[in-house]
Formats: sequence, structure tokens, C-alpha cells
Amino acid sequence: MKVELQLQGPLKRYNRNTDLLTMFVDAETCTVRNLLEQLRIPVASVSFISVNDDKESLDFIVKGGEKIVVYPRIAGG
Amino acid sequence: MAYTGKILRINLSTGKATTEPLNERWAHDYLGGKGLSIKYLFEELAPGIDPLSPDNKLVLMTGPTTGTIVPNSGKLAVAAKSPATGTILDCSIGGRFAPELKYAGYDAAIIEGKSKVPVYLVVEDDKVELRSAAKLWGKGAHETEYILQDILDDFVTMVIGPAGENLLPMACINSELYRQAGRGGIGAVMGSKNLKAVAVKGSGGVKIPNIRKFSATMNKIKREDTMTDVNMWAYSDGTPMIVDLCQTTGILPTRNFQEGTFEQYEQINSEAVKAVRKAKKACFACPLACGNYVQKGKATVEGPEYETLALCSSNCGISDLEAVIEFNRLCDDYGLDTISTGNAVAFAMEMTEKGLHDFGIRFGDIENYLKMPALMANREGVGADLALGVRTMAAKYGGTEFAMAVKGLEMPGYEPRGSWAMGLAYGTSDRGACHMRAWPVSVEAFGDIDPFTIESKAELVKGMQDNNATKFCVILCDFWALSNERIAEILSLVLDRTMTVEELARIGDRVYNVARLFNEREGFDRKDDYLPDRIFTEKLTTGATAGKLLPREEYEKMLTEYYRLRGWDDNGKITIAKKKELGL
Repeated sequence: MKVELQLQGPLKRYNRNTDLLTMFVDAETCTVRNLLEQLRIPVASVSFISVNDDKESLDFIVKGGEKIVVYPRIAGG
Repeated sequence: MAYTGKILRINLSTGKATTEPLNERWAHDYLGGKGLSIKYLFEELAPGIDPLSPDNKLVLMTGPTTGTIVPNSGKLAVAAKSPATGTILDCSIGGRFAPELKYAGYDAAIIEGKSKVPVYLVVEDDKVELRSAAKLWGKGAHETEYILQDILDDFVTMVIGPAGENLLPMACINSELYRQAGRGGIGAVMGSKNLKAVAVKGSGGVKIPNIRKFSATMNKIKREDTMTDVNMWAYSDGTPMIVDLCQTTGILPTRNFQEGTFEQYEQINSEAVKAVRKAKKACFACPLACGNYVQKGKATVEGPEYETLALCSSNCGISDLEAVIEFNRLCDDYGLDTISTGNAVAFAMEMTEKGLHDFGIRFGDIENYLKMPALMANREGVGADLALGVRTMAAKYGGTEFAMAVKGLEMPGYEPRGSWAMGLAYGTSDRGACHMRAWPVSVEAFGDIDPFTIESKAELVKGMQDNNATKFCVILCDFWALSNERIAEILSLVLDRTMTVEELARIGDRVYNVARLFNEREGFDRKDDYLPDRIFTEKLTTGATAGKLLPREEYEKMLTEYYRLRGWDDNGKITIAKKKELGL
């Protein structure tokens, strides 16, 4: 199964400065946290993630076909 | 050591400039920036003065790290009693003015009185001069800075536009064209003194006790604690990055805070801004360079920042980025704060659409939207009403329940119904609704803490307010995420005395309390710490915040708990015990 990942802001550097990538996953066992680990993105660098536009936990288990957006941590406003 | 030990005082009524020693005890207790400027104003301003009278003072305050290579230390605190709210007001402005003032030999400049005619102030080391601004008065902020650049050789300037001259409560002070001390009408204080501009140039430096150790440590900190993922969003994107985060979490103010999502957000988000970005810009000593120079069509500006995108775009129902960029440029040139201006325009749009009063402008009406900055700054036509700010507009025409302001200061770009601690932060901010006193959306809407509960929120907001107060005393940029341990390490090197996190926490608490004491003296208490009724009574209907409001009874509980943690009574007054504890 595959999912589409969008990395925002400075997180793109974990994907050769490209924001979109497709990842192949084992459905029903793979969490978003696992995907971040595969990309070597530190959890501390992530504000939150969304799955199909809804904010979800990093422990969300992917089923395949989702669009996941990873938002960077931000200071100040 | 890091201080020059000298304050420059300029009396515009007499035209005289004097110097005096920095009050070392206050510098010890309040460090500089926000805290020290508020302390000076608390001691020197008589209660009840008119903020637009000669009795008000304008304080330009540096901090102990100003002028050094400490990352993100290029900010200046600009403080006075606010014409918009009647509270204490401190703003911070980036660029290069703060280090230049220090190199000229001053920790601060205190400007008092009122000139009989328009003037501008020129400071070059110990040479201080007032010059006629007759030919500058009436000109835009941008043209004024260009003219001063031609007249003066390599000075850094702070100027006001027509909005400041015409004493608008949303008038700001500009520097380097696009940097602003933005909020609370600080530009109107300058205008009320007939002061069009301040120019400074210094040839001195800053003494650091152990320069070798200091330099090595700063390079290490820059590498390990500044140029990191947590901060690099500022360089890669800048604040427009926040649009997508707010949209996803349902806290992007839309059509005067009627909704928390904007259907056309992709036209104003960071990707849209980056598509028209031409260059980056940094303040003094900043490796993060958050500024974006953009150009779209005929419109060009350094910006738009998130607050402008939220308040002047989605909140006005405007999705045309070129129009927003042009609106931003006009606000900067006329000397208008985009947060309050966007709110005033959005309020007028809703009033018109609801048929409560016809301001001749509706959501999405680009043609009239682009006319508003000039009309407001010059107090012409409907602009004369919008120039009053939303609280006064509502008092005149109705709509109080959706006049989105606290203590008269219009709300920034974070919907409190989707971040309850943000609501408390707006309510208890010392200068009215402000996102820079505490920014709990970072851990609520954008983090793991449930945004829709009051549990532990009072503690969260108090902690953030104290930390930010300390940061703005040092004075460091809000965009650098760093721990108090790191600040203590830096200050220990700069001040040549041991600074601890415990002392920093005490300083933050003290600063927040002296600001509250100033406001208390002006008659502020619990009744002033509330949000507009819309937040308590109207449910949002779209996105992640659909069906949400902030229940008034929950807010009351949060507020009471916050007062308890602060050591204030149930009416929000500082207790005698607390004053004693902090030496106030």
C-alpha cells in the first residue's frame, strides 16, 4: 500500500528539498511515527501531522491511500 | 559591562538633551528592553495622564545583549502609555536601530514633552540635534526614510507616516521601510510630540568581559541551538508558514472571526508567498532572516507576515495575494498596524453585510479594501470611522459582541475558540489582545495539549508570559526557540555575573507584575480581562473547530486560577504579599 507525504517548511530537507513523496507501507502495522523514523525526521522537529486534512496523532496507523502532511515546529507568532 | 551606563533624555518642549546614569538597581532587577522601559514609565508617568499629551513619554530601550553577536539580539523595545488602550504599551522593532543606539553610547533614549513644530531628532554619538521636519510632515513613512537617507550619511531611522501624525490608535513606527513597532498606537505617541523621525548613528562598541570565551560560546550556540529545525522555518518560509497550520487546526480568523477556516487559504499560504518571493532579509545579528521580499504584479513589499495574511486577507475575505501585498505596502507607508487595520476593515465589512451600518465595504470587495489605508490614515470619509478602532466603532454604531478586541486592542490571528489558552493569553496580556506575550497555540492547536479544556491552562499561560517577558528584556527575538538555561548562560557571559534560571523566572514574574501594577493604577482590573462576546456565545461551523466556542464559565474558572497563580486577588489586583515578594 502507498501513502502520500507532504513535508512542510524546513522539513523538506529530509527529502532532498522536495515537499511531496510517496512511501510504500505495510498497512495496519505502520504508524506515521514509523514513516518519520524512516525519513530520519526527529519528532522534536514536528509540530503535528494531518491525515486527509484532519489533525492526527503520530501513532495514527496508516491504511494506505492517505495524504499525510507533516508540519514543522514553530516558535513565536 | 554590557550596558553603556548612560541614558539620553530629550525634552521636546524645551529642545534640550541631557544624559544621566542608567539606574543600575533597576537594570539589575529588570535587565533592559520591555522590563526596564516599563519600570521607567511606571516611576516617571503620573497616573491618569492623557497618552497623547506632552505628559506621556516615549522610551527607546536596548538590552544587555544589544549590539553583540548574540543571535537574534537586534531588537529594540519602544514603550509608552498606549493611546489605544490606556494601558502600558511596549512594542519591539527589529532592524538595526537598537545596536546603533548602543554604539552611539546609550542604553536608552527617553523622549518627553512636545515640540511646538514638527521636528526630527538626530543622534550621532554625543551630538544630539533637533531639526525641522516641516518638509517631511505629511509624507509617507517610505518617502521620509528615503529623504533622510539622502540628507544623513549612513544613519538608521525610525519614522512615522500620516497615521502617526493624525494620532490614529493603530499608528505604528517604521524602520528600514518594513520593520514596525506596530501595536497600541505607539506611532501616535510620536505624532503627538510633533516628532516625525529619530535618526541614530554610533561609532562606539559594546564591552564584553571575556571576549574569547564569549565568541566561542556564541558560535557554538548558533550552530547547536539556532540553525536547527525548530528555528529554520523562519528562514525557509518565515511566518506565512503559519497559515497552513492555522487552517488545518481551524484557528485562521476568517470574515471577522466568524469562522476558523478560509476556503481559499492556498492562495495566501507560504507556498503562494514563496512563489512570488524575490529575496530574504535579516535583522542585525540574526542568522534566521525571516523577512521575505515579494513582488506580484505591481505590488511589492517585505512581507506579508502571517498576522497580515490572517487579519488583512482571510479575515477580510480577500484571497487575491496581489491585493493583500499592496494593502500591506499601503499600511506600511501610511504607518498603520496591519493587525488593527485588518480588524477595523473586517468589522466594517460585517457591519455593512448585517445592515447595522453601511460603511460601503463588504467581504471580498478588493476595490474599496485598497482605498481604506489612505482613508483611515487621513481620517477621510468612512476612514474617519475605521480610524477609531473597533471598540469605538462599536460604541458608535453597535456590534459590540463582534468588535474583536481586548482592552481596545484588536485581536491577532489566532481564533481563541480553537485554543482556549490563547483566549486567556489575550485576556491577561498587559497591552490588550496580543500574541507575543504568550503563544500557547504552539502546544495546544499545534501540539499535544487538548485545546478544548481549561486544565493546566492558567499555569501554561503564566509560564509562557514570564518566559517571553524575560526574553523581551534581554532583548531577543520571539522567533528563536531557546530555553531559560540558554538565556542564563548567555547573560552570565555578557553581564559578568552568574545568572540563574531561578533569577530569570523572578525577573519575568516581576516584569509582568509591574506592567499589571501600571494598569491597575489606571483603573484596570478583572472586568477588563474578557474577550468579545462572540468567542463565548457563537459556535464556529467549519473545519477542526466546528461546533466549538469558549464557554464563559470555563473562561471565568481559568481566569480565577490564573489570578491565584499570579498572587493576585479574585478581582485581578496584585496582593500586598505579592508586591512585597517582588519588591514592588
